[in-house]
Amino acid sequence: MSEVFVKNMRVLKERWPMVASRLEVTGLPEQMAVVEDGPETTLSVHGVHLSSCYDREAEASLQASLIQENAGQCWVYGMGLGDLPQQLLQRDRLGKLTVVLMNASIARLSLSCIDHRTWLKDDRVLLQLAEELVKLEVPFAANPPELQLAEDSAALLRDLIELELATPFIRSKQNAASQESQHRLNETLEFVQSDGNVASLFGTRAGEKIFVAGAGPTLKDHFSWLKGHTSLLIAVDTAVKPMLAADICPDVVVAIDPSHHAELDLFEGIDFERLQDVPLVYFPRVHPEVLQLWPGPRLTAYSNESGYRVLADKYPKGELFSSGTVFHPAVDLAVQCGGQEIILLGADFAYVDGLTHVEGSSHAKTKIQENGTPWVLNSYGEKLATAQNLRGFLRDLESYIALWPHIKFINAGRKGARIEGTTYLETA
Amino acid sequence: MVSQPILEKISDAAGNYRLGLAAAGSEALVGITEVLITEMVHWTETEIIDFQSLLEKLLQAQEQKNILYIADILEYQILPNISGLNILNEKGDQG
Repeated sequence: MSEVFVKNMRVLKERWPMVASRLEVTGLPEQMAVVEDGPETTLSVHGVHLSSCYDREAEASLQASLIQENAGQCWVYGMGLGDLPQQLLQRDRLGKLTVVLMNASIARLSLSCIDHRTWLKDDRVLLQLAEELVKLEVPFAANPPELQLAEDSAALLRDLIELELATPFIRSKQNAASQESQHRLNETLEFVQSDGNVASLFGTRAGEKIFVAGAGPTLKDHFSWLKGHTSLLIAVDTAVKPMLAADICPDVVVAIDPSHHAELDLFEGIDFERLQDVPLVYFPRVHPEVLQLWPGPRLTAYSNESGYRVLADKYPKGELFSSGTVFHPAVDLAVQCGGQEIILLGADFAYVDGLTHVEGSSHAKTKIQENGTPWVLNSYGEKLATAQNLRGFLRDLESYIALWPHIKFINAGRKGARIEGTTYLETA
Repeated sequence: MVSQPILEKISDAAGNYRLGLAAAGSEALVGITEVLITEMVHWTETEIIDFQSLLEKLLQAQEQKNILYIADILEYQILPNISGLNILNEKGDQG
């Protein structure tokens, strides 16, 4: 135990005894090092630097810029080497600063190597452990390596932080795509004009059980019992081909992907005759060739994206929630149909058994878990490799589910990502 | 001389990594490395060797997901190193 750790801990024991107790029983990270590659010294954990090794102050100043100068209170996720809290405490208007420890062993390392007492003693500071928190507070700034190295119990909070940080970037991509897709909207205009309205399905299944099939790898685990289903089965487009191969025909299919080839590949080789009574619910950005190909009725829907506003004003249709994945509107459709018990199938949001999608889908690829790959926890508390966007889709779905407390959302599988707000299907 | 837009892009990419916007940083990085690799034909052998060694460092940092070090390499190693080099084809430089 270093002398500086003892000094830091004296402050912690006096101000935040619970946090101090937790840190006292926490070991140091397994792979750690003092890095002296640049003009300034930093620490690394698992090969990841905890700060710049060139200009820590400039880096902290940039990170602090995410918080408005006149903010009266703010949150910092990850104490790092203490640079960010110190930077923010220079602001006279700041009345309260909550510093959240995303990884106790990293905090212990930092407290063992650096004298943090100046900012720890500041009356405006509150120190908290991430494991105690599930809600993201704003305004905030973060130390990115500590998000990456967040401990398992902080995974949900970490995801919410990363999603919030990424939102402006995602929005800018969506807006760019929206502008590009005006041409596509012109191409699909004749379909929107003549096709049905997704709202015609709304309320038609009040109080019923509805299945929603995503295209996660575990979808195939349900094929055997799903064959005898009698409840409404809504499937995302990616799931159709493997479902038909298993002799299961969905009752409704949802498609939103604007990509021409990706969407056509999904249906390559399938027997379209089997879908001639199956409605396709689509956003108008889907390629017109896909719409032409569809043998059954077509029902238009919009998302709340600004790119649809003009079209929606002229040709009003029902709106479905989506923050990027087709699974969202499929679930929202089940909700708006009036489903009381919504059973999610293949909703994995992760790579299960090394696969990205259910076998038989043209999107299915194998994935090898690499060092630093994003992860989520499954129902067994095991880490599953995933992608940042899948993790974002998962958290957005959880936020959506929280809006419908009177509806029972049931996850049919336990091998995919754990979805907050769902229970598990006992018979699966 | 190196065009202002590419220097700004490098600086912005570094900033994005420091702010935790890894997706935005990575996207910019792809464009930056493409431009710089294309422009290497205008450089001297020594400049190319120096740059290649920085690229290797960058790749290693990427493999380790060492995001703040990626930012350091971009901002404090690559940026000063290429500031005096010839980069002509970057969009916005020659209209």
